[in-house]
Amino acid sequence: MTRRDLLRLGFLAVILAPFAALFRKRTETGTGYFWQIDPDKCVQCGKCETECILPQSAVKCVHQYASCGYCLFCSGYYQDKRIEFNTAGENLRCPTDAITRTYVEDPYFEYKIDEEKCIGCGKCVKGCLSFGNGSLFLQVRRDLCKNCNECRIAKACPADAFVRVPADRPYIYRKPPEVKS
Amino acid sequence: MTAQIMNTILKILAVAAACLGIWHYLTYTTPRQIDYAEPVRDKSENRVVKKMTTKIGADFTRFDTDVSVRDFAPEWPCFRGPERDNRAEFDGHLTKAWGEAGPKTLWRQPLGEGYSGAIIADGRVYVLDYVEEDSSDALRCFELFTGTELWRRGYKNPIRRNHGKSRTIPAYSDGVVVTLGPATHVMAVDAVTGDLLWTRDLVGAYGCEIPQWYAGQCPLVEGGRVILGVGGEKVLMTALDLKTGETVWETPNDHGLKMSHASVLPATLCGTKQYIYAGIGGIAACDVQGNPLWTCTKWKPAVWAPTPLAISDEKLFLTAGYGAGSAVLAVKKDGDGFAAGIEQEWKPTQGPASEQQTPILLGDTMFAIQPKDAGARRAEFIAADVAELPAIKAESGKDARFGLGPYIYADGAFWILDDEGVLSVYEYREGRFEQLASHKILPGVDSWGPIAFAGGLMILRDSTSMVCLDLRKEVQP
Repeated sequence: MTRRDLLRLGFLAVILAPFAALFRKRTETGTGYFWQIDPDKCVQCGKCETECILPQSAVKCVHQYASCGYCLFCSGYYQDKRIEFNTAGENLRCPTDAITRTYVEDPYFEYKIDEEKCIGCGKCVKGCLSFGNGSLFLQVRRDLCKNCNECRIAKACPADAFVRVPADRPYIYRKPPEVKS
Repeated sequence: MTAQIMNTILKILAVAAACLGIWHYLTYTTPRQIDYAEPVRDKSENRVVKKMTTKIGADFTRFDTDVSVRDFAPEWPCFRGPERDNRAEFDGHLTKAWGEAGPKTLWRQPLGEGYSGAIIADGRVYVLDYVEEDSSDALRCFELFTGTELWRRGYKNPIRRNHGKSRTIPAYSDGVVVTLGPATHVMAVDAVTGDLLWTRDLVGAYGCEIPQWYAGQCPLVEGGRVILGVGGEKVLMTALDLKTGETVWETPNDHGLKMSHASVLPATLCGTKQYIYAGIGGIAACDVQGNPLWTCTKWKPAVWAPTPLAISDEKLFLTAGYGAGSAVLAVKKDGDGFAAGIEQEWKPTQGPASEQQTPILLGDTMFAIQPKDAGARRAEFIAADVAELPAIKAESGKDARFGLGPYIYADGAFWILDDEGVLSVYEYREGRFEQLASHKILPGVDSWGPIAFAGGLMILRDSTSMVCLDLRKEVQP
């Protein structure tokens, strides 16, 4: 091969290299990684609600049912100074009434998050951790997140709880409690 | 003329339209959807609380065994031990330097899921267990040194799992074991034979409510009487005869307190022996005849598990989880009676607190494990001078957190079991905690059942098993 041929080949490789990316296996969002909150690091500071670039944060409270106790008295649902254990607004911790509580059978109650109402403030998460099993925690919802190159919440997070996760496994779960019976 | 009339009409119409517009602007509200957060939106109006009617103590099984019960005088006869202070008297020395294998284990036994602790009396171990396969509460009696089950007496109680099932510790006195089950069924049996002596269903007798996550109160037996916090429609506390179960006295429930997970505290305050009960809604006391002495409803946590702690002749330390923190209640003589009021209160981030276990008092220093919502000190073992509350003067450190586990004081050291079943020994000296030993004893989770200790033997449990350790220095391998 002459020096000229080598230069030609090199030049051709440089031209064609970007097209090789077309044959790379692409993930759904077009990027390999996704911003996510590590629930074990999250300190529920409230910045997820206020720092996201979206009008309503892409961070939502999620409920890991396998860890929930289905209690009558849910410390994520009821605020500390609640008057009664009922669904009246003054008893509730969530500022937007985004948690729906439904009686299942004695002594169990189910708690569901209404993501349209949830603003990602983390108040219920803090309440759940103060007394409960930690079945409520914050996660970035993949369908809402713009997956910014530099996430504003990640920059503001005081606990370094924002991490990059593979886009095909975008959520981080808590370890459910062991049940031996 | 016509044009003038038309002009006037148009002006009137214009003014009228303007007025209408202003009126509309001022009064019109854009229609919007308002969802009212009503008290009943969870279908709880359909809730059916199943009545736990059962024939208490109806089932009995004696196990065929050659094991004989050894004479063994030391006892741990009830919740928090002989003096109800979680401090163990022991003449010998306990091993606090464990090798790889940990301290000597005498036996292990599987249990139904729960947190009920054991008691030790007359060479036997008693535990009020939940037997899953029979859907029954059962008082199980084991031989102390081998763990061989001698007998069990129980009754059907088909309850659902609600963070475990069993939570209470029996009480032994004068040859009788008294139990209070998850659904407030009281049962008294002969400690040796297991014969049923008497029973009482507190819900049926007093109209009380079964506490959330089932009953956690441990019966107090004193002076031949069983004293219980009932929190019923009319009765707050009652004393039953230990041998017969007959009612000796009842204290009226004038403030409508409900049953909590705390146990009745016997204490002498202002020179008067009292029974103190921390119920849901407040705290109250009566004298030894059941006459009401004082009530305080100024401090009322939603969930109250730790029993109050008498920190002086006039003061009680009150603490609870779920953000409640702690308070100091002062009791004073008031004419012929007593008056009680909250002297101090603080959040768990500001001072000593406890979610589940009752703290230990040693002299003027109180020891506790901080609750999960205590900020940087969460789940740490701490010490505080009761004269300087809420200041914390020592903590185990961020690498030594224990969750909701139990702890006792024996042979000059604290024996602390963490959630995961790791037993640690800590010495408190000159304002510092020093770890002497640590070993994983139990396999499971939620090792919250209080510890029993007698004569160098220690009974520990996790959510589904129980273990007996022999900690006497002279028997270690």
